[in-house]
Amino acid sequence: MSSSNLPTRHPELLSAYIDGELTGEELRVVEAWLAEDSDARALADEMRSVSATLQALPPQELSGDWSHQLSTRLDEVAKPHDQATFNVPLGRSSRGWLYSAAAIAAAVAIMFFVPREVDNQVAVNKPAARGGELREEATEDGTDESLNEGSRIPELRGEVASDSEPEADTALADVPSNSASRMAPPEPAVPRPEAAVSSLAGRAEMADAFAEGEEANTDNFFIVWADVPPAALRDQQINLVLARNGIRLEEDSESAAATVASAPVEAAEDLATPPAAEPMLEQIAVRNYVHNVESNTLAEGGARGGFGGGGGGRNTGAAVRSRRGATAGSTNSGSAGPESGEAPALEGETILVEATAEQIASCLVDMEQDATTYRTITLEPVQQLEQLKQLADKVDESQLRELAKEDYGLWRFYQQQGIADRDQRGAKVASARALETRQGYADELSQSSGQSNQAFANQMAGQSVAQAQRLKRPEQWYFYNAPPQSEQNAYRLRAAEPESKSKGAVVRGANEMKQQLAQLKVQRQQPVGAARASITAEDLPDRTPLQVLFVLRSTDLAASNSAPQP
Amino acid sequence: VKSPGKQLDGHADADLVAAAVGGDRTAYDVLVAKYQHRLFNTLVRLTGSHHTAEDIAQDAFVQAYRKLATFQGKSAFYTWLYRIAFNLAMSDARRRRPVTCLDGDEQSTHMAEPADTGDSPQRSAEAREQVQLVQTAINQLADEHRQIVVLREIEGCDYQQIAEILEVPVGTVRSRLFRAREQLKAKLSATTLQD
Repeated sequence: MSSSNLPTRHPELLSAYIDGELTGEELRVVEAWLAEDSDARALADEMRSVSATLQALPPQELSGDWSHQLSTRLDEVAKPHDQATFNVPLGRSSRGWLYSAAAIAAAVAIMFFVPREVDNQVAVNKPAARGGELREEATEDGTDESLNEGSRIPELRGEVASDSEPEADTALADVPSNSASRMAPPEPAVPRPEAAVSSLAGRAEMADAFAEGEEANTDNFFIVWADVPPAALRDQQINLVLARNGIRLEEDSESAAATVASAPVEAAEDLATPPAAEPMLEQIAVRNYVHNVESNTLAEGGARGGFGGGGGGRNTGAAVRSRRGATAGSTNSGSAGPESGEAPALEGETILVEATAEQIASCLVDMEQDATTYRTITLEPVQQLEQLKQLADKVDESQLRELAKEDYGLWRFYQQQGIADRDQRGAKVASARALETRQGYADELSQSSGQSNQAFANQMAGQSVAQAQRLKRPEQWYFYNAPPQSEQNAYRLRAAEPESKSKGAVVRGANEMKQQLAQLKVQRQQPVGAARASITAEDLPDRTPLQVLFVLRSTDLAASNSAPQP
Repeated sequence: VKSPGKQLDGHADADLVAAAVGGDRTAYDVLVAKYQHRLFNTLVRLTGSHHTAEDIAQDAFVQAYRKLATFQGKSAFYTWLYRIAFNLAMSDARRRRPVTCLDGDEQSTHMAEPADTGDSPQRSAEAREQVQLVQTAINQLADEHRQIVVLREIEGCDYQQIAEILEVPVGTVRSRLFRAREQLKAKLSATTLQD
């Protein structure tokens, strides 16, 4: 029996019918359908049978000591704070974030003082950081073996990543850690097994600060904002940073990106985001929403006035749009290099990275050391959503009623606000997500197939814990979304500052970068096979996977804020 | 978990949460006792592993206890707890290899004793085998389908509740559940399916 014979475009109605989830017209339609169509009745019976089979699964019993173990753990948590070891409460409060920011700041400072050999050894601890050397040049201090270690692309040699980890840890334990101990962040309440190793060097300390987030948060999500020149966007220089740290960029997402970039109009399905990225995008969206409402930009006509570029002029969106034409600015094309002629102006790119804390920290170090490309770097933890939502709650709803005429908006937002009624939604739907693009999100909401989850499923099936995926963003998304302006919500790894390098150094750096990108491109066209499979979760039992969204915004966006409207 | 005081048994979750936030561990123990089996059984089907489910259930109760003060009561306590557990399960899945089938030994070790129906040992073995087949079929579903099936068939959630927990529209719940059932139907032989 095949459902293709059924005279309906909505076979899922039968499934909903057996669950008693239909009312009104839908119920009547299905009842009439079942009355006259034996195939439909058969399908409904099969659905019932599947349902009954699952419901008949026998209950499982908890182990005998489970309750005792839980009780012990709860007792630990219930201890008064002054009895507990001091914990970096990242994710618990803005104050906690400040502590952690201080820890990261200290870690960054340490990176420039610790002996390079230490970094080198710590880098050995990075599972994916093995294989062929890509970057030959030393950095400014001329002793950058550690970065070379971290800059190896695993696929180049296809080495298995899991070798000699115990030895690496043992070696690290012998390394003096004077400078680290002076500036180390507070000890976590429950030292993790690798804590002793991590406290030895700045790079690892920073990783520790990231990983600490897991102690307090259900989700380990961070956003890394950076302002980069348009040329760096075109050349996809972030690829190098990722590759150097053993983070594989998914080929599929790349090829899809190329397709989109050449398309005149972006299709709604191209905006689908993997669930792993949603917490980050949600935080950006809600924060943006709060900002816009507070600054009355909503009331003056919707999503106007990018606040990140410094100017916030309401006409700047048009300026950006006119320069970019109709091309989707959502992502780069691998083929859209400088040689390909008139490349479209790009607003930015967004890359979802899942990798270990060590790898993420190492990426940040690489970005930090490349001031030419990464003009500003801001870290934003995804942990204040509740506070933002509370803030959003205080916003005068009358403002929103004026603006929200359509049923678009942030589904989660009103779900979590307990707003189920459609009319009520209408009052609150002017959420930030809608500011990305009204039609885009409306389309996304109307999708019923859950295509957006496929990328995530693929990601899991890929068995790699260190990987990256380019995400498509709606037109002008980068214009309207920017790093947090308050230092309570984020930590500035580097604020914008005048370029201090000589022109010669910049040219040399650019040439070097171009060469490496070409190598990387060749490398990425090779079959991956064993090398990719070698980076598996099993090889990394003690690693802490983080979801990090790298949002790179064109420095032109800031410039366009002051540009006159054509 | 400590034996909860009887006087707390009848209290609504909101009262128990408030008492627990005020420092009454016993109140939280009541919540644990109330939901531990439900959460655990859901997690077993979601993760396909008894041990993983135990770990995640425990982590979820600890996390929830830590964050209890931030619980605003806009959803039911269990919905909130489930979301924590769900996120933990998803994080856990990402750091493991995807295949974590509930093997037969584990299943038979922890399965509740079936009522004595006078079945022969052979029939009991067949029943166990069937359970394993069903669990394997669930494990083979894509995440988005497995989550929905578990919430509907194991948790008994209605579509609106599923939509709230997974933060997707009800229409998505409906279509995904249909697809999940179609896939399960295809995976399970006619003999495995219940009449």
